[in-house]
Amino acid sequence: MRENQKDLRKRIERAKEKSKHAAQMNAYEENQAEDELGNDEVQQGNGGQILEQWKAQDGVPNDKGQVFHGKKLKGMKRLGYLAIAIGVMAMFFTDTATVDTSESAKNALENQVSTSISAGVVLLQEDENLGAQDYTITHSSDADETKIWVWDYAAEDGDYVQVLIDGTPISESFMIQHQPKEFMVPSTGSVQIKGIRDGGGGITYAVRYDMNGTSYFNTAPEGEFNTYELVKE
Amino acid sequence: MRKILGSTLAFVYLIFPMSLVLLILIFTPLMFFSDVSAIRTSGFAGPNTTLSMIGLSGFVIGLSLLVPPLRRIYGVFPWLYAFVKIFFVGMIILNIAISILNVGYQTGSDTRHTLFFILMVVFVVLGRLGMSFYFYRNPVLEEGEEA
Repeated sequence: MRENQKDLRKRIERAKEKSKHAAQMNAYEENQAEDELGNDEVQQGNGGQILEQWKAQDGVPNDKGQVFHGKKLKGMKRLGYLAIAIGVMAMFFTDTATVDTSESAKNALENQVSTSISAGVVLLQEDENLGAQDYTITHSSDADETKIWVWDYAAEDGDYVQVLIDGTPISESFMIQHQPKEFMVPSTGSVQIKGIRDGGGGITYAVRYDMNGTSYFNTAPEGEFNTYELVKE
Repeated sequence: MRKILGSTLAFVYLIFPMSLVLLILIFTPLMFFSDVSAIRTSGFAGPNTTLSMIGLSGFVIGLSLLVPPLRRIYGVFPWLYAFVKIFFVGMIILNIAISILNVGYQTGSDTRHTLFFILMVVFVVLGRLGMSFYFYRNPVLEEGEEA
């Protein structure tokens, strides 16, 4: 009986000490105007047992029993929000070109020519060698010059091409991307697309001619040309 | 029970994806010079992974700092917060620098290559100076605080 009483007293004393500690902690927290913590609670359970509760999870006790609080917690949260905001912005600006899987896109891949596909359309996720082709384009346009757009219809993997007119370069070599690059070329003569560098899987590019509204999906071997002979009717 | 769940979640998060992000943070500065050298030597732009690197790291680091159970990681490894803070900013600067160089090398023009190389160097120097100034004004660790 005596032993039980002693034991009970000890437990009560221990509980008091812990309550005192908790009170000191609370006083400290109140003094911290910027402190965002204030969520550690101490509750007394049955038999004077002290139960530490982690309530709103803002202040996190680590394995050493310490808590991030005050300026440090605020700084951590600020960096956290900033990192998420930067992440969202980065994802927003990431190129997310979707592959066109429509019937006209399938036909375009099969025929390598299409009048229904506009400039900048992506047909394949990965590069696929369709085979190099030369074309003779007969048109009835009266204009002396016409616009062409060149883009990568497959993966943006660092393929480089160069545009030449009758063997003379009209631009520096450039990396083809999903975003089409525009050039002005004469409406008669020979337009050549030279493969400069294969980023992997072949130099896959598409070129659209404004004068006939037709897109050509082609593959240029590295160091070689695809020729488009423009002939007026 | 809740504590155990929180610790388990933090541990799993540390193994993946946090350790992947830490590797990115460590290797970005180490690979920077070889990446620049590869672009300069080849004359062609390298793979542009800037946005995905920054996006992934930003999300993972942000979540680890905002989700209370995940914040335990920083309690177990007290040096990690300072490390992440400094290396995350450094990684953003270096990745943007590489993408500046890549933009320059998207066209095969020597003048453009040189111009964008200079731009990249200026950006890195200014970025690092700005970062140093910021951390001078706002130290990662308060006086007397241990990592």
